[in-house]
Amino acid sequence: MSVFSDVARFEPNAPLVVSETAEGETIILHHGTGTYFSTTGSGLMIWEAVGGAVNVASIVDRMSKVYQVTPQIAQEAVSSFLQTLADHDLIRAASAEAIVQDIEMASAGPMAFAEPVLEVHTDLADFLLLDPIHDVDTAVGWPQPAAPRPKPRDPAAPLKAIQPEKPLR
Amino acid sequence: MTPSISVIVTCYNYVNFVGAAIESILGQSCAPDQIIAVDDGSRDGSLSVLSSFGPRVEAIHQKNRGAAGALNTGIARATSDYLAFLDGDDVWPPSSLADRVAVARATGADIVYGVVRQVMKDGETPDARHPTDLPARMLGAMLIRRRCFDVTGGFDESLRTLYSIDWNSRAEQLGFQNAICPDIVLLRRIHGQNLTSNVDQDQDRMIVLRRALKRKREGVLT
Repeated sequence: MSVFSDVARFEPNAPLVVSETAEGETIILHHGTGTYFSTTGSGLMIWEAVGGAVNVASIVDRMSKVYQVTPQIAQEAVSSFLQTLADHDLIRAASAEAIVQDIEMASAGPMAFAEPVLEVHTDLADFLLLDPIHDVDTAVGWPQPAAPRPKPRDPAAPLKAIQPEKPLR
Repeated sequence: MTPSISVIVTCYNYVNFVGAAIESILGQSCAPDQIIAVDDGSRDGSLSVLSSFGPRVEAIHQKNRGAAGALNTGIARATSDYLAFLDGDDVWPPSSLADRVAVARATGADIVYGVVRQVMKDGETPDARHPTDLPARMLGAMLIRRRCFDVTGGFDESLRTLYSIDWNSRAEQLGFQNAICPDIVLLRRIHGQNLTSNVDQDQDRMIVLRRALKRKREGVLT
């Protein structure tokens, strides 16, 4: 039995929470705790649906179509994952003005189901809690660029080692 | 024997702050062997402030490359066993270097970091949105063996922000040892009043987090 109403709608807890999905994985960051999260598969599907302020019944329905799963198991999985997201303060009840954006998931057919999992990472919390998101000034200092933003480095390419101009002691 | 220390100050349009930053270095109870100040293309007269300290400060002016580029310029110029960094708008308490050096000597750690106190630019205590008095691997609170950079390379200049997180993630993956200094070693100035973000910062944040995750999962060094 779900603790959430079928018509309940949620949305990401912005601006404290930001996320990005790429290469089949969603990364979610909570600025208030410095914790970041990752999820894939059915968890990604639920997060995308939350981003579209879709109601619980619609999320369950979508999961039942995308994955080889019974409606009852889908209901339990969605409810459990939403509770996990809420426990980490990543979602909140959607405002009445939140517009439903039902993003269709491309799928050749029902896929094998795996329970949604939210990985929790706290290893960078000390950095992220003091992150410059809290420290933006339009007049002085970085990160305002004076030059065009450089092209991102290819992550696969090794960083160029620094050559000291003077010999090390 | 006290290890030699190079301090690298980076500055971009911090004319109202960078003098205080340099003074806080000159006032350290443990005097550094070298002070390098990199002005990253400021247009507000910051370089004049840096030059006013004479030969005590090696002032370098360069075309704007971003904070990571300024840091890399300073690292390339540094000659000491340990490197410490200070943003041109922040200051150190007088015993900042001495406290970190003591931990480095006691532990033999490659990287020492201490407690960061955040202060509003008017000197007021920040509100709850700005956590303070936390030990953090923030550059201004760190003391890093020079040889770490010989192995890791410099800061990634494609990142406008969070280049230090990315560097620390690499250093951690390579097995450099961290130690925490329990003292307040950095007074970090908060400029913005609002919880604000921008596209570049969000983009950098996700790039850095994905790299960190990849390193954790696969042990891949990028």
